[in-house]
Amino acid sequence: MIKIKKVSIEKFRGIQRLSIDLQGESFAIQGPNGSGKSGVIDAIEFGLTGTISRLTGMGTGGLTIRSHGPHVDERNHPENAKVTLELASVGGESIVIERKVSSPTQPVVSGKGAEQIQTFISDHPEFSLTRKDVLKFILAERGKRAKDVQTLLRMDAIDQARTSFQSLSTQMKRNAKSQSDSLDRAAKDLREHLKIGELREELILEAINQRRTLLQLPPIMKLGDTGFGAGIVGGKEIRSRSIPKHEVLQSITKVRNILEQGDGELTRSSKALLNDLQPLEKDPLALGRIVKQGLYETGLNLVTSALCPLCDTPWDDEAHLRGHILANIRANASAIEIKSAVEKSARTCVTVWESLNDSLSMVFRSATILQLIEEAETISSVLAKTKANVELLRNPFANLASTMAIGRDPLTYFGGDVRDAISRIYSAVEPLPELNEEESAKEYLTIAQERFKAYHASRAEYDSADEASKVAEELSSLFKQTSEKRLTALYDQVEADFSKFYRLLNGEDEGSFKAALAQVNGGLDLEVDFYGRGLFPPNAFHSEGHQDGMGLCLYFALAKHVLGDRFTFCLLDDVLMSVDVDHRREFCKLLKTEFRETQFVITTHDAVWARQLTSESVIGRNRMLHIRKWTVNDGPSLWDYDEIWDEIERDIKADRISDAAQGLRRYLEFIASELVIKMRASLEARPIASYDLGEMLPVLVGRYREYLKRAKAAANSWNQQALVNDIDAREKELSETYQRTNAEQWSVNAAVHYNEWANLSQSDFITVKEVFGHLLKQFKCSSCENWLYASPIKGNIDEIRCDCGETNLNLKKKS
Amino acid sequence: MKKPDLEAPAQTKHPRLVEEVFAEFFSNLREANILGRKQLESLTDLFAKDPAPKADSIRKALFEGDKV
Repeated sequence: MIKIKKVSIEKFRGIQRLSIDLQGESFAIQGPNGSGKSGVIDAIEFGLTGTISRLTGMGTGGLTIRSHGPHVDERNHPENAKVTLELASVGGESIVIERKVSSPTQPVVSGKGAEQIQTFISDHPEFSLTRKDVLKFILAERGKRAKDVQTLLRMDAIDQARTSFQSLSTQMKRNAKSQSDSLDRAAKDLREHLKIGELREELILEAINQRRTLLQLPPIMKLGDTGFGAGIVGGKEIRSRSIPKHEVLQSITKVRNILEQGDGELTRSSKALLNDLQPLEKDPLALGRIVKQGLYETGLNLVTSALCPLCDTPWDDEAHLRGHILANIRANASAIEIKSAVEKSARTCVTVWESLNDSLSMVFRSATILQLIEEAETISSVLAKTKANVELLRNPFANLASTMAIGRDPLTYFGGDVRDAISRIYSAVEPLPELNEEESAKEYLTIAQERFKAYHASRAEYDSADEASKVAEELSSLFKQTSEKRLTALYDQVEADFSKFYRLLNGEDEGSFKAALAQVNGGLDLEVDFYGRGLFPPNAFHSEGHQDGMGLCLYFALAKHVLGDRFTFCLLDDVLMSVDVDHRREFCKLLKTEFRETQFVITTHDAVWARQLTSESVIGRNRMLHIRKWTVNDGPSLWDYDEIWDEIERDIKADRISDAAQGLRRYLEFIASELVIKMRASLEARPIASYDLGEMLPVLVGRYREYLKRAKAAANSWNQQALVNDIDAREKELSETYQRTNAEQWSVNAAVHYNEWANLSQSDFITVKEVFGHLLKQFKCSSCENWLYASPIKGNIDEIRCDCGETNLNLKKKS
Repeated sequence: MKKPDLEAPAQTKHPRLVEEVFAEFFSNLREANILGRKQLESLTDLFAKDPAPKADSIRKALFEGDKV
């Protein structure tokens, strides 16, 4: 349990130098917008963690702690910007952390308890909450809310692990699908060579044994026991030496036909492809739509659960996800049309090119066997290019320019050298004898063995990928189940407390409020009751003020369940600004009753809310910092009595009477409003609690006079003559001083000093200053110089006193 | 004055609940017999080093080593 006793800030953000004594208690910082309040919050967060939330996250690109953490004038000297925190740890021991912006991760810590600090920092869900932070839990989409909540609670590892397992499962499924396609191709190659319809063992063995019988070899009884060509003498050399003359000559003729005829299959199919590609040339954006279309289609094929296989976004259920992807596909009708046409013509081209490749392969093998080295190299070079064309045409949109080039000039690689090489090979093959039946059988068995081996290897790879895919899916499912079970239990508890806290805030009109917080496919759904009409998203019907309250209630409920009694510190930066006075009162009760052990540091620009925090005892006496203004040179200036008086003195000396008059009036308005509260004087209630000096001073002085009257009566009842005399003197001095201020009040009147200040001389205004200074002294203890106040804060007032007790005017008569 | 080890980012330590989720997951995993002994050890080691490993790291740990 760690709380903050003192904060010292130097050259940090908008603050030049500031020291705040929190004494381990809740504290408020009040000041107008841009007065440096959030700078204090940043400093505390930086002191504890080395980071500043406002300089990280969305919209803060280019901002760094090192460059933007120091005061703007010290931006090149981050070593001068530092925050020192004095913490009270368990047992009351003090720990001091000093952290410089130049080395944010290397604080200097003195005192025992570094480990405690580490634990405190690590465990704590969030030090600094702004209104934006609070609302993000309420207004976010369910997937984002789950991420934000888990990040806030330092439970993001769960979501990250869930996403990793899900991604792994998707990845392994894709891999299994790819291996399945390879297996299909290997099976097709084998089937076609064996000339059988199915790869059943008996059909394979029948085809193989038919050739083996021809070669007078014993039949193979079982696949895998023996190689198909086992027993063939010189079997390995058969294939390399044999040239199936008839087939080779046929292949050469086929190639020649393709090359020689301008309206051959290749030319025709290429023209058709080019025609179908034309719309893409006219509309460059169409390609993007087609690529997306491909992505949607791939995604649709991979959908196996409610989690999107493309981006891991959780959906309500699989049907909704499928519906969403299908809607995207359908919305792209023109792209589908172009894509289908291009794919169809590209498939036709692939068939033609594959046929050409098969023929060229046979020509190449013949050239190799016949040792026609130059011709073989020429054909090999062409083959490499034509095979690359096939790959391009299989995915025609991957490299559109190359696909179009194939369509425009399919015969580009077949120059005179190729034709000449083919002619020479033809001349060499033509005189050769045909392969006899035995040689053909040997060739058949050798190729069959090669393809069977490839099929077998492909099968093993697919089995392994399929098994891995199943394991990955089971792991993903198991982690999801385990984490959801625990998180659901947590969210159930959080849901109950969230509803309870919210009812505390809004009990007068939403006493039966309830919320539903549920995990849905990795997301976190939040629905809230709206006056008994059903459950709805929180921003559906509730006001902004209610949403602010909900955000805080949800945060408190989460923090309570994750941290329990370790939730000892919380920074609330200008939250609850859209919540009205009555609901803020309930909020104060919530803090006091449910989070008694938590030290809150609350900033606000609203003076009424700041006073309410004191009057509702969320913060104690003297646990409030009032900032009156901010300048880039000096940073925040406080409503400090001595400082203000010095400033007025300087203005008078420099003959800046207007500035002095304004300064005095503002200070008097501020301190009068404070003294009205301290003395429990009553001002007329207004929707906007704004009063001018002329309204406050009479009420304040009148109230003090009443107290002095009661104090004198009480002193008389106790026979305290000396005290009676002292009170008489106070009454007299108060009356005289107040009369004098009445005479001088015009000079600090807002309506006057803008116009007539020039008529006031330095000596005139010195008198004004002294008169008001003297009046204020009536409300101070002459010993400790602290302001007097009526005690207690609530109920019957018993005494007027100061902090040191030297001034203590009893109001209770002897009974 | 001393310099404690406060340099590790706060996120590396997780609340008890996170540790409990991972402990329960590995316990369920052992019972479910989904992985071989070496795969289980490899996955446990990986999560001990990094509670939020990437999918690729999990793949390597599970499918690129000895599956016994």
